[in-house]
Amino acid sequence: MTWQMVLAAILLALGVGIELLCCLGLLVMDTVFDRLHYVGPAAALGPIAIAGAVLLEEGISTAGLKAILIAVVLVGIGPVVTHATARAARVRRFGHWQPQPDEHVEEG
Amino acid sequence: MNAWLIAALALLPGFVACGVVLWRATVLDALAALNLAGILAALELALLAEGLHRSPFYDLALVMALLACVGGLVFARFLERWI
Repeated sequence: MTWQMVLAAILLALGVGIELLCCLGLLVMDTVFDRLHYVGPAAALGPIAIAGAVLLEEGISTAGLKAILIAVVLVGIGPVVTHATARAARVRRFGHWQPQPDEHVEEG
Repeated sequence: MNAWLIAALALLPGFVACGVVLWRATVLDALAALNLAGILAALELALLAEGLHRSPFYDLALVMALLACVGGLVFARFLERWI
């Protein structure tokens, strides 16, 4: 067993573990905003770990490049979807997404 | 059965968690669960492609990842005001 295979197995276990922990977090949290905190890591960390495992196993090949592409899509668009979901939840609750009068928001 | 197929099998309980939230929670919570289920489905297909040594199956995972993300955006947009 080479060091690439060992590292690929570690990354694979890490990726699957992150995804399962995120699913557990989604299940036990109460509000949509709390739940979205667990969708973010699932879209970013898990795909990177699994794509890394595939890349170590296959090298720069068709499978390796497609695994990278899948991770890029999930990491690139996943946070946008999470943000859009949070914004939709806020708009449904307050009618708009701007801060409420009693909310303190620091200007950047 | 190799490590990739075992990993694909280990990911399956994640769909149960998403299904429970989809079934029991509010519509926006269900959208969060749907987003996570789409990510899981894309990774599941990628693991199956690697485990079965079928490189073309990666295309399914790629399309699933794209459609899950775009579908989540469309759902979020419609749930924001119109549904």
